[in-house]
Formats: sequence, structure tokens, C-alpha cells
Amino acid sequence: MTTDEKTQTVEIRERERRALASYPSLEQVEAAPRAIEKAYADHLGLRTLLLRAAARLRWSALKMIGGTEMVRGRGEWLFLHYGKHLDMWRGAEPLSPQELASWVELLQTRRQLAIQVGAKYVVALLPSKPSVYPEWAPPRYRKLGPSRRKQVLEALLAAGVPTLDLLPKMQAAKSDDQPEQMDFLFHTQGPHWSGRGERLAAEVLASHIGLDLSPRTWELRPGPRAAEDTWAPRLYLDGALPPLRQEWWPKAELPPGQKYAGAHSDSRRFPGPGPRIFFQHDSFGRGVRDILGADCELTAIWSHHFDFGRMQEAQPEWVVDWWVEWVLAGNTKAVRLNSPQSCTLEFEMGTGVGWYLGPGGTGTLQLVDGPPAKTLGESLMLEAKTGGVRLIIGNLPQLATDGVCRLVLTAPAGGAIEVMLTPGNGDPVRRVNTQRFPLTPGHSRVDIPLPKDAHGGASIGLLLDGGATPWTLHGAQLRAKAIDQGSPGTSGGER
Amino acid sequence: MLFHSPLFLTAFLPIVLGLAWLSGRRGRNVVLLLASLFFYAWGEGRMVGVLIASAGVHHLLGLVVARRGTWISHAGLAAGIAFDLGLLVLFKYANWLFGSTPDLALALRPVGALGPPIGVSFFTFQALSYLVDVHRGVVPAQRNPFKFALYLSLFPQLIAGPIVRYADIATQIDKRTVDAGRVADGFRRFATGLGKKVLLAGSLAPVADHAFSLGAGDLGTGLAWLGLACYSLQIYLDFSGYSDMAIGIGRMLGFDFLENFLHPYSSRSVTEFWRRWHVSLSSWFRDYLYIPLGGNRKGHWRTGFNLLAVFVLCGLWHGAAWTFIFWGTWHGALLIFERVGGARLLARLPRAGQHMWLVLVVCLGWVLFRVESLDEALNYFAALAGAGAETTPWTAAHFLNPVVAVALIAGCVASVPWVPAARHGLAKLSNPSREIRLILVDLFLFLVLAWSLAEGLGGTSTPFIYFRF
Repeated sequence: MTTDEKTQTVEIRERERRALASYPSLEQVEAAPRAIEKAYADHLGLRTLLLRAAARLRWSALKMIGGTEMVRGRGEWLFLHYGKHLDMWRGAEPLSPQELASWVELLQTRRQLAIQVGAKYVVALLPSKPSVYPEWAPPRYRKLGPSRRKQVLEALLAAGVPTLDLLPKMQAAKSDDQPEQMDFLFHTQGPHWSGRGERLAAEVLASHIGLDLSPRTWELRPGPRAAEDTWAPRLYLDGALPPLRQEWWPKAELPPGQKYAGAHSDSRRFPGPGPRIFFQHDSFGRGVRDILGADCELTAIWSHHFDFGRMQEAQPEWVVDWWVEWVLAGNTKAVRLNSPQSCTLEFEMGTGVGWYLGPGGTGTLQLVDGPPAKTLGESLMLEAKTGGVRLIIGNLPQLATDGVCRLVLTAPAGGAIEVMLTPGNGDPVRRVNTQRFPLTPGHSRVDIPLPKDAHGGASIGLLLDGGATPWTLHGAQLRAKAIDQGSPGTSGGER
Repeated sequence: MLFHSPLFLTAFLPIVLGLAWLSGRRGRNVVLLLASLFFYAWGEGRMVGVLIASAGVHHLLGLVVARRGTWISHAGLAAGIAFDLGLLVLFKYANWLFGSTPDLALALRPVGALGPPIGVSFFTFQALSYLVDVHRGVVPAQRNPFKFALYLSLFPQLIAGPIVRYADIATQIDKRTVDAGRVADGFRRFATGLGKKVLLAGSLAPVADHAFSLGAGDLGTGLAWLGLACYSLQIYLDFSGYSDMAIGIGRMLGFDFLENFLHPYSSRSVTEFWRRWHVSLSSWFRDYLYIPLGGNRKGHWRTGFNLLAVFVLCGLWHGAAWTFIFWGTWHGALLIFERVGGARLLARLPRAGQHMWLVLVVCLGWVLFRVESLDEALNYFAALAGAGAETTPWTAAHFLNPVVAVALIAGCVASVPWVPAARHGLAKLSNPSREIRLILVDLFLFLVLAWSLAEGLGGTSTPFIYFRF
């Protein structure tokens, strides 16, 4: 920096009380065309018309839909796939023994945490649409073996972790379906339960935890959920598919609950009269939460990231993990860095930001020994021994400013660590900067600048490579401002 | 910027065409040069410097080489060859060649991190052909550096061919005509290529990608064959589609690029296949390597060696990997086989048998071309031979959805030379019905264009395979 520039910096800081604006880097300039192309494609005048015409042509002439997120089933049923869900259900992508053990360990840990605060625990891995309605699933997706859900439920049973399986009840309730009115337990064009499905699920859970639900009158009327849930508009097929007009809803409005300040965008508290329940759920818990909320003191956290601090605060009698089976599509090889201290509270990004640490290259990863509560309650979460590891900051909103990711490391012999920033899920990409940070013997703090445009999709990956230097990662913090805290969307988006 | 991106289709191309048509004789070359450099810089950023530097160096060397019969001409040619090989080694082969030499690899790391400039193999071969042709006296050297830069950077064929020789378009740079007929013809060719790439190749790509991504334990024989069929059609439709688009744009701008694909899968021998597949590359190797090595004039053994050498280098041209070398060797060996008597054996087969032989051996070769390692190739060949996974969730039936089925059929149809026959038939028709049919063809092509644009807008289209070469 020249003397003139220094003066200018000081001038602007002192007079205008702001930082000197910087010129874009060459990398930023080179990234601009891609951003312009994306923006141009989104702003093109005929976009909607063309996409709609192409979608309709594909739907009517080829009986298909575009993309890999949804798959057309029999009739006009749509099934969420995201490139994997249907394969998980049909047994084409079973969990490996290691992955299965990892899930069981995670849920056992959660159960232990519940026991520590004096609560009973149950996990419900909810059956998704093809589990309940395999007869409407796409014929190409032949059932081959047990689903991941079944694998995990059986393993949990063997490990003594209490589970709640809704599938038998749902299969029995299919006899009440009225196909001519499109009245099923799931929306035909969306992945979620209908009003009737939510009611059934709430009743099964209430019965399991011994909660008496108030008697309510249910009526068939226009409900908001089907319109939210249908994928027809997203696939540019609105108009081509019959809209669902009515579904079963309680006649009287359900209490909305209070939005949980600082927590995930749609986490809520219900100061009901009954037992205290800590309900950790995904998008399949929203309707259930509303039904239960009238009859119990409910803390409903819409997130997969376990929040021990909030659970302690709620002093629950029951802790319920309520996730649809898609959660098992998550990267089970990665272990989550999800203590309340290191993730939910300290991160200025807010909640919902997930940290995943996984092996990359030749590195080995081991969980630090110790009681689960201690492990989860401290920032010391995982030990990464030499070689490369991959740290992914997931569920990340768009950054409004450049940020910093601070890593706390120990390297007994000093040395250096190389950090490569990668957008997306941590796969190395062309032309990314690899930066080298010296490590002092003992504890080191490494502040890695995160340019706001490093964000790719919903995550930033850090490939950490100490080469021959032994080092241990003790914690990580992200400091940045988000443009938008984001909405949880469906459980698919929560993976 | 990809040819099928919305920005290219609805902004860049119409604007450049409009400006080029409205400009005068000199102006349109300026427009084209600026557009071409902008086009390259848009996608490759600072790498445009490599292209400009290459154009500058070759222009100067061309002037030197043009002093034919002098030592300086030979020295200029040698310097040009060294420059071009150095460029390719530096950007494309350094990591592969020197990966086991840590110090050298470390020194070259900054270049490796940048990655090869897109199309470096294409524009380098064009530049090399220019120097050799000037040295041989086939064409005079271009004295105007801007015209030479235009030749080297002409955006329709800059990043994935065809490899245009200077001799073929030297006069067109100075003088070319554009009329409504050529524009309409160019548009039809462009839309045909766009449809081949986006609608057909793009639909087949996911099946091929999946089949080639499976390990030995998951890949069954059925899917292995389906994946290979999809990839064989995908690579043809993708690359010939790009060439169609390049030729179409060229025609709309007044240029006539030579054909690059002449329905290669309709060949009846590997020798014929290489006269029809990527013609600009195979003829480049023939004229600048095979014939100077002695071609078939120095006996059987030398001819065999020349064929093998040319095809090993042809494989290496596609990328720095042993798989490409084996792919080239496979084709070289097949050509030798046909030359030493195989062709006579094949001639005894019925025509259909000859076609089947050609398709089979070429498709088997694509396995080597597509895989990342020789282990993967062996696994894939084992699956093709029936030793694949017996129980696997990834069956051919699982992937054979209506879109893939239609793309397979349409791809096969597009691989046979029915279009020239149809054109011929069309020309014979009386005027009113000919015009009606032309209007129907144009309407169909507009639909293809619109659907391809929609695919680009929906973000479902894939990049061109040949961009990485």
C-alpha cells in the first residue's frame, strides 16, 4: 500500500467512518461472467413461457418431468427423489455397517442427553410417501430390499433406543382414502402429509407419550398446506395437474405458538397446559406440532442440529426426534460439529448453520473419547490426525460481507497448514486459492478469510491439509453477516 | 459462454451477427475479432492472454517462415513447433509428465492450478498447421496481424473445432458473401446441432455417467451395454452437434468451414471411420505427421509403425492420461489389422456385418476414452463380457426411461446419412410442395431451438465433452 493509499484509508475511516472500498480482485472479475449469465437467464423475458412449454411437452409426450429432484410415479403422483431418496427407500442404497453404527451412535448420544435432563426419549423415523404408497411409486424404481429407515429402526431396536414406527398405522389408515376426492395420507403432488396424515401422525405420537388430545371437529375444506406442498408450480406444471382443493383440517383454528427468538426460522414454543415436550423436527413436524401444541407445553425446534442448551432450558419430560426417513440420506460419514456452544450461540450467522467434519484424502478422524454430554457440551469435538480433512459449513445463507472462519488448532511441532476454499460440498474445484498458514508449536488460531462469493450453493468447504505436520482441530467459528437467514423449506433442504 | 447458454443464444449471437452484417468489409473483421476475444475472455478470463500471445508469436513466425528456402525459415518453423509443443506441455501435460518429480511439479504448480486454457489443443494445432503450410508454400503468410488473430480466434470454432486450416479460409477473411439463403442455411445447421447437443446428447449423458461411475460390484452387463450405447451416441451427438453449430454460425457470417463429421457410425471399416470422424483432426495428423513420417510409402513395417505412432499421439492429443494412449493404440492396431488383411476378411462379410463390426470395435474403444483409469476399463470390459454384478439395483431397465429411449432412437437416426438423402429428395420436388416442406422443417427447427433454450434456462444442459481437450 502506498503512502497516498494509507492516507486515503485513514481519511475515509476518520471522516466518513467507513472502510475504504476495495477494487474487485482478478478472481472476482473472472467470476463475474458466470454470475451475469445466471442473472441473465433468470431475467430473460420468455423464461416462464419456455419452461412451461418444455415441461408440458415432456409431461404429456414423454410422461416425464425435468430435473432429478422429483420423479413421476404412476398416475399423476410425484415423488421426491433428490437423486437418492427413492433409491434409499427401494433398498438400492443401503447403509453400510459403519454408517449404520454411526447413526445408532448419534441417536444413542441424543438419548443419553435426554436422560441427563431427566426426560424420556423416542425417535420416530417417519415413513415417506413411497413407504406408505409403494403402489403409486414409479415402476422403474423396483423394491429390492429393506429401506434405510427399516435398517436403522431394527438397529435401534437392537441397541435399546426407543423408537416409534408410524408405518403400520398409516398402512391401516389407507383404507379411509378417497381417491376420487384425492384424499390420501400424503399430497399426491408433494412430498408431505395431507391434513389427514398429520392428524393421524399426531394421534399416534400423542398415544405413545400418553398425551390426551382435546376433542376436535375435523372437516373437509380448503387447506393451505396442499398449495404450499405441491411441486406442480415448481416444475412449471401448474395447470397441467389438477389442483388439490380440499383436505381435512380442524374446524377451529389451532394455536400458532410463539416464534422461538433466535432459533431456526420456524421453531416455536407452545405454552400449553400439559406435559413439557421437547420436539426436534423437520418439515414433517410442522402440522403435528400445531396439533400437539394446544395440549402440552411444547418446545418445537425445526432443525436437525441438536441443541443441548435449549433442551436443558426447556426441562422436558419427553424428548422426541421426529424426522422423515430422508434424514438418512445425509452424509453419515461426516460427523456433526453441533454443540450449542460452538454452533448455535457463538456463530454470528445465527442458527441453522451446520458444521460437518469429514475425512478428505488420507486423513483419519476419531471422535474424542469421553462421555457424550461432555463431548457435545464443549467446543472440543473431534480430533483430526494429520493428513487432510474436510470441514464443511453447511446450510449456509448467502454472505452479506466477507467473513472469517477461525480454527483453533494444536500442532505440537508447529509447522503449517494448507487451507483450500471450495464452494459446495467440499469437492476441490479449479482455480481456488490454497492458502498456507503457519502454526506455532502448541495452540494456534488460524483466521481464514471467507470472501462472500466463496459461497457455493448452501455451503463452503475447507480442505485442511497439514501434510506431515500432526495437528488437532479443537473448534471452529464463523464470523460473517448473512443476507438472509433462509427458510428451512422441506426436510430435503435440511439434509 | 456455451453455445447453448441463453446469453449466447439470445444476446451474444444475435448482436454479433447484426453488427457483422451491418458493418462494411473491414468493419466486420474488426467486429468479429473483438467478439471472438470477448467470447474467449468471457469464459477464460486472463487466459485470453495466452491466445493473444499465441496469435502474436505465430504471426511473427509466419513472416519469418515465409522466407522459404532460407535457414531462417527452417529455424522459424522449428521455433514455432517448439513454442506450440511447449504451450501444450506447460498447460496440458506438465502434471502428468512431471508429477513424479516433486521439485518440477512444485515449480509448475501455479500453471497447473490455472488449468489448461479451453480449446488450447485446437488453436495450437491451427497455428501449427499455418506455419507448416506457409513453410511448404501452400499459402502466403498473412501480413496483417489482426487478420491472423481473427483466423486463430474466430469464435465459432475456437474452443472445440473444427480445426480450420488457414488455407481454407484465407480468402474468406478478405472476401466473403452473406445472403439470405446462406443465413437461413446456417440457421438450420445451427439449430440442428443445438438439438443434437442439448436434447439428445444431454438426455443420454446421465445414463452414461451413471454406468461409468459404478464400481465392479454394482455394474451389471445390461447397464454396461446401455451405458456404452448412450456414451457412444452422446460423444458423437455432442461433438458433431458442436461442429454443426460452428459450421452454421460460420455460414451466417460468410465463412465455409469444412465438414468435421460425415456420419462416421455408418462406416464399414475403421479406416473409413477415420475418414468420417473428426475429419479436421484426422486429416491434420495425416498431412502433418503421417505423411511426413513416410506414410505407407516405406514398406509394411514402417507403415504400421507410422499408423501406431500417429494414433498414440492422437490419443494423447485428447488428454494426458494412459487411457487416451490406449484408446489411440486400439485404433492404431485396428487400422494395422485392416491393412494386413483384415479388410479383405471384412469384405467377405455382408454389409450389415461390416457395419456391426465397425460399431462394435469403435464402441469398445470408447470405454478406454471414457474411463478415468485402466482398472476402471478392465472392470467395464468384464461387465460387458458378462462378468458384471449379478444382483445390482442399477439395471438397464431402471435407466431406460422414455426420454432416454427416444434419445437413443433419435440418436441412431441422426447417425445415418438420411439428411442429405432427404435434401436430395426435397430438391426434386416441385416448388410449392418443396417450400411447404421447407417451412415445416424450419418450424420444427424453431421448436428445437426453443426447447433447447428452455433446457438451458432450466439449468439441465451439460457442457460440451470436447471443451476439455
